Amino acid sequence: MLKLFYHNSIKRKLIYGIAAVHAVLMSIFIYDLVSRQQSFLIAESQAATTGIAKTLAANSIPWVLSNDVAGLEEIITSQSQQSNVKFAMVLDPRGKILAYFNVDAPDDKKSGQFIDIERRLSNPKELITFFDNDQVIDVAAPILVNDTLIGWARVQMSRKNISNSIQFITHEGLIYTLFAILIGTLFAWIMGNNLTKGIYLLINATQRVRAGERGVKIELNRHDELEKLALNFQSMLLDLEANEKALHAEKERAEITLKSIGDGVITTDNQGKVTYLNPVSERLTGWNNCAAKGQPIEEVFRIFHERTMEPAVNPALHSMKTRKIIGLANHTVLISRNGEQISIEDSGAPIIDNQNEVIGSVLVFHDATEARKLQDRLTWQATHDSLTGLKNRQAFENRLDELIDNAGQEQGRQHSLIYIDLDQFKIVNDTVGHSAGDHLLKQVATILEQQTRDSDLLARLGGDEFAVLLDNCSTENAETIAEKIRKQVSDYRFTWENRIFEIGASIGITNITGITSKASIMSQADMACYLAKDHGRNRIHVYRADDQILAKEFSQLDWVTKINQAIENKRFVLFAQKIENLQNTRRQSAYEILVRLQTEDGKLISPDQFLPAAERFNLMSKLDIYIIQHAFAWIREKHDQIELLNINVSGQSLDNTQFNNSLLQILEENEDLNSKICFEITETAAITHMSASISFLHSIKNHGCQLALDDFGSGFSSFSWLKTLPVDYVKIDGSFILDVLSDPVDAAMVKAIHTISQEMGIQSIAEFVENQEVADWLKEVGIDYAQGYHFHKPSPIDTIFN
Amino acid sequence: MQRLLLVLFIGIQSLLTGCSSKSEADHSPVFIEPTETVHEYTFAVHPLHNPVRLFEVFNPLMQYLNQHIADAHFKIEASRNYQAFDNKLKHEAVEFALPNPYQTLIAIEHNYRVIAKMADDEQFKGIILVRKDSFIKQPSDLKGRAISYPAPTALAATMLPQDFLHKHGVNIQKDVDNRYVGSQESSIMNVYRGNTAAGATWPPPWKALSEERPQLKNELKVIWQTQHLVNNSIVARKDVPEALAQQVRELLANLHTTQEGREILAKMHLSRYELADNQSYQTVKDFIEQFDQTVRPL
Repeated sequence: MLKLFYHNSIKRKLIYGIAAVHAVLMSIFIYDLVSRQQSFLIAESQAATTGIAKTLAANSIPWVLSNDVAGLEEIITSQSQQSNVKFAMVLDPRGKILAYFNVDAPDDKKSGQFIDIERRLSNPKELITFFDNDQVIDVAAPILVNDTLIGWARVQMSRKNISNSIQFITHEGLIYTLFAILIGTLFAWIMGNNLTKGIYLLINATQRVRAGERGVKIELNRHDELEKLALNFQSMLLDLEANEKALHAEKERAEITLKSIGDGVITTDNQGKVTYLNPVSERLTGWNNCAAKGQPIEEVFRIFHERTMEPAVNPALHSMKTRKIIGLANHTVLISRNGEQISIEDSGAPIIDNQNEVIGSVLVFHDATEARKLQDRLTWQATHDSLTGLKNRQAFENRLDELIDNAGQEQGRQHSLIYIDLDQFKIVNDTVGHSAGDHLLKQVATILEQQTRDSDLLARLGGDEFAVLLDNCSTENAETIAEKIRKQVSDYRFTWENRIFEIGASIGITNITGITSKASIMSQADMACYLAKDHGRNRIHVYRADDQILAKEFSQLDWVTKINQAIENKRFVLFAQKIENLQNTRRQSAYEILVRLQTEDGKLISPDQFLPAAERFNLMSKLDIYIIQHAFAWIREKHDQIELLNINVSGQSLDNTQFNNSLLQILEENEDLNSKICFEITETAAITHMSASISFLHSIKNHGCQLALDDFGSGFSSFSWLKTLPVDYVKIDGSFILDVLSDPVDAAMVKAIHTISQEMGIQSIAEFVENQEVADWLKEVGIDYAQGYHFHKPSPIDTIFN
Repeated sequence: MQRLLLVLFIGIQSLLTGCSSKSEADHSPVFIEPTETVHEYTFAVHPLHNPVRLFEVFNPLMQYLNQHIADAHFKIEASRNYQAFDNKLKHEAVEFALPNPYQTLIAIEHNYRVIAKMADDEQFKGIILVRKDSFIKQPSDLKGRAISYPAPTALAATMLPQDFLHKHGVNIQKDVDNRYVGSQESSIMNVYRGNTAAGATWPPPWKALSEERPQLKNELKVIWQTQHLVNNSIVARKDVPEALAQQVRELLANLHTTQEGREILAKMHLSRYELADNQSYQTVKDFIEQFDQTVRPL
C-alpha cells in the first residue's frame, strides 16, 4: 500500500525523500548533540562532585583532627546546600562516619556507623568512586594531612538534572526535527509542485493526444530539461501529425484507388476475417463493406469449381498459409449472397509486415464471364472454321499428328485421310458471288458431317477444300465413306437466286502410317485429290506410291520449282495496261503492271495458272518483290513518260515481315519515284490482313506512294473500309463493269461506289471496260479512270513506248 | 503517511532517550558493623598549634606509641580552641591528653592523673612581641593599646605575660585592650599586621612560625620574657588501665634515648619527656590562685 502510494508520484517521492533525509540528518544531529551534551554533563557533574568532595576533604581537616563532629556537620550541611547533592559524609580512615547529612532526610543521623570503605581501597590516597552512572555520581575524596590519611569526604550527587536536561534537549531536538521535516516537506512540496506542474502539463498533453486531439500546444515557460522534453515532444507531435496526415492521405488514395479499380478487392486480417470490400467486390459478392467486416472470408467469398461445383480453395487463406502469391485461377465461380453465379478469376497475396509476420491477405478478382466467353470463343475459333463450324486446318493438323503417333505406336492400326476439293465452286463464287459461295460451303459442310462418324475429324482446310481424318479405318473403309460423300455432294443441287448449280467433289485418300511425315501425308492426299480432279473430277483417287511420278508432270507441286526457277532466271515478264483518265484526256500516262510467266520454250503462261500455286506454297511475296523491283527499274527508265504506275501486292505479302522490309528499302532507295507509284491491294486481302495492312499501308503512304483498293465490291463491300484504309483510288470490281449497261443493280453499285468515293476524296477506277458504250457511261457517271481491252490490251512493258 | 511519521518520531525519541528511562536504583550508602579489634585511645593535645600543625608535630608520637604498644591504637586529636579542649577534659571525653599546666589543674579535677610531663620547664614562659618599628619601649607604653593573646586560660602565652605586665604596673583589666584571638599564630599575626600593639605568646610557637615565615623575625622582636613555670603535662583518664598508662609513661620518659624518639622530640622543640605526677603542678596551682586574686579573676 505504502509502496503503491510512494511509487505513483514523483512529487510524493520527492516529498518523502526530502522528509526522510531531514528526519535522518536531524536525528543524527540531535543524537550527536544529546550524546555530547550528556557526556559533557556527566563529565561536568563528575568534576563538580569530585570538586565538592575534595573541598569537603580539605575543609574537614582541622575538624577531623579535632574530632569536632559539630564543626564537621556544619561544613557538611553547608556543602550539601549545593544543588544536586544527595548526601555528604565525613569518615575516619576506617569508615566510621564522623558526620553525615542527607538532603532528603536531614534528621537522619548516621554518625558512629561504619561504611565499608576499606574493602574498596586499592590505593588509600586516591579518589574512591562508589557510583558513577546516569543517575548518580558518588565519590569519596581522601582527607590527607602530610600524606597521612585521616579520613574520607564522601559526596553523592544526583544526575537526575542531567537526565532532565537530556530529556529537555531531546524534546527540543525532536521539535526541531519535526520542524525541519515540515520545512523540508514544504520546500519539497513547492519544488515538487514546480517540477511536476510541467510534467502534469506534459501528461495532460499526452492524454489529449492519446484521446485523438491534434494541434496540441505545450507551453511550459521554463528553461530547463522539462522545456527540452516539451520541445522534443512538440516536435514529435508535429512529426506524428504530419505522418498521420500523410498516412491518411495515403489511405484515402489507396481506398480511392481500390474503389476506382475495376477488380474486386477484399482484404482480410491474419485470421481470415474480412476487413475491407471495395465497391466492385461489394457488387460481385452481394455483401456490403459494413456487413462483411469481421465475417470469415469463406462466408463472403464463396467460390466453387465451375464444372464440378466442388468448393474451391480460397486464395486468400491459401496465400497466408503458403506465404506465397496465389496466381489467377480459372474455372472458378463465385456464388454471391443473392445466389447469383459469376465466373471469376481470382488471386490472393499474403500481406507480410517488416517483421516477416503475415498480418493479412489481399484477394483480387474480377468478373470473368465475358472474358471466359471470349476465351471459349477464341478457343473454339482456334480449332474451328468460323464459316462452317467445322474444325479448322490447325485442329486438323493436330489430330493428324496424333494419328501419326498412334499409328507408329500401335502396329496394325490403320488410319485414313480423305481429302476433298469441291468441283465447280469457283463458278458459283464467280457467278452468284461470295456469299453464295459461303452458303454453298455451309451446305456442303452439313452433308459431310452427316457422312462422318463422331470419332472422325472433319475439317475445312481452306477455300473449298475439306478433309476427314478417319480413326482406326482402313483405306478400303475410307474409300467406302469417300464414295458416300462423293455421291451425296454430287447429288446435291445448290440453288441461288433461281439458279441451280451442280457441284461435285474430287476426293483423294491416303493411308496414315507412323513412318510418314505430316507434310508427306498431306502431299499424298493433295496429290491423290489432284489426280482425281485431273482424271475428270467428281471421283475418288486412292494414293499409291507411283502416283508421285505420275502427278509430277501435272501437279501444282511442279509450280514451286517452276516459279522459283522463273524468278531466278527472270522469266516473269512484266506487262502493262494503260489506265485512261476519263475526265481529263490530257493525262494519259497511267499504267497497271501485270505479269506473265514465260516458259523456257518461250510460251507465256497467264497468272490464273501460276498464282494459286504461288499462293499455296507461299511464294507470293517473293514474286511481288520481283515484280516491284522490275517495275521500279522500268519507271526509272521511263519516268518522264509515266505519271502513275499501279503495282499489285498480294494479301500474303502484307503479313510478311521480310517483304515489308524489302519493300521499304526499295522505297527509301527511290524516294524521287515514290510519288508515281500506286500499290493495289484487293479488298479481300486488305480486310483479311486488316491489322497488318493498316500499318503497312500507312508506312508506304508515308514514303509518298499512293494506294488503290482493288476488286472493290467483290468481297465484303463495306464502305466503312474506305474510311479505315488510307486509299487514294478505288478500283471497282470488273464484274460490275461488264454488265453495267444491262444490269441496273451493277450500274447502281458502280454509281454508289463512285458517289461515296467522291465524297471521301477517293478517285474511282473501272476495270474490264471492253467497249465505247461502257466507257461513255462511266465517263457520264463521273468515274475518274478506266482500263480494259477497249482502251489497251496489256502488253510487255518494253513494247509500251515503241 | 501519518503512521510512517509516527513510527519515525517514536524511533528517534527512543533512540535519544532510551538510556535515561531506566528505573531508579538504590544509591543509598551501605552501613556495616565495625570490625574493630584494637581499642582506640584518643590523645588530645591542647591547641598549642593549629590542628594541622599539631597533627604534624604529634602524629609521629602517636605512631611511635602504636608501634610499641599492642592492643591499643592511639589517635591524636586537636581541638578547635582552648574552650573545646577544656570541655573535653571536663567531660572526660578523651583517654589521654596533653594539657598546659593550667589545664592540668582542670584535668586533675576531672578524673585525670598526671603520668608524665614535658621537660625543659625553662621554656614554659611567656614572651611579648612588638613590631621592630614600634614605639613600645616599656610595659607602660602599652597602656591604652590592644594586646593580642591566644586565649584567657593560656598559662604561658596569656596568663604569664598578663602577670608580667601586671607586675610592671599595667592594670590588665583597665589599662589595655585584651584581645583573645584563639591561637598562638593568630596572636603573632595580629601584632605583625598592626592590629594590636603587642602580641603575647610563648617560645615554641614563635620559634616554629618565625622559621616558617622569616619576615616575622625581620619585622617583630621579643621585647619581654616572663618567669617560667612547669611545662605541659601528660594526663591519663583514670579508667585507662594502669598497665597501659605505665607503658605510655615509660615510652615517653625514654623517648629521648632513641634516635626515632629524638626526631619526634625535635619537632616539638623539646629535649625530652620526664616522669611527673599530680604533685608536680602544685606551683602552677599556686600561681593561678595568685593570678586570680591579683591580675584578673579566672
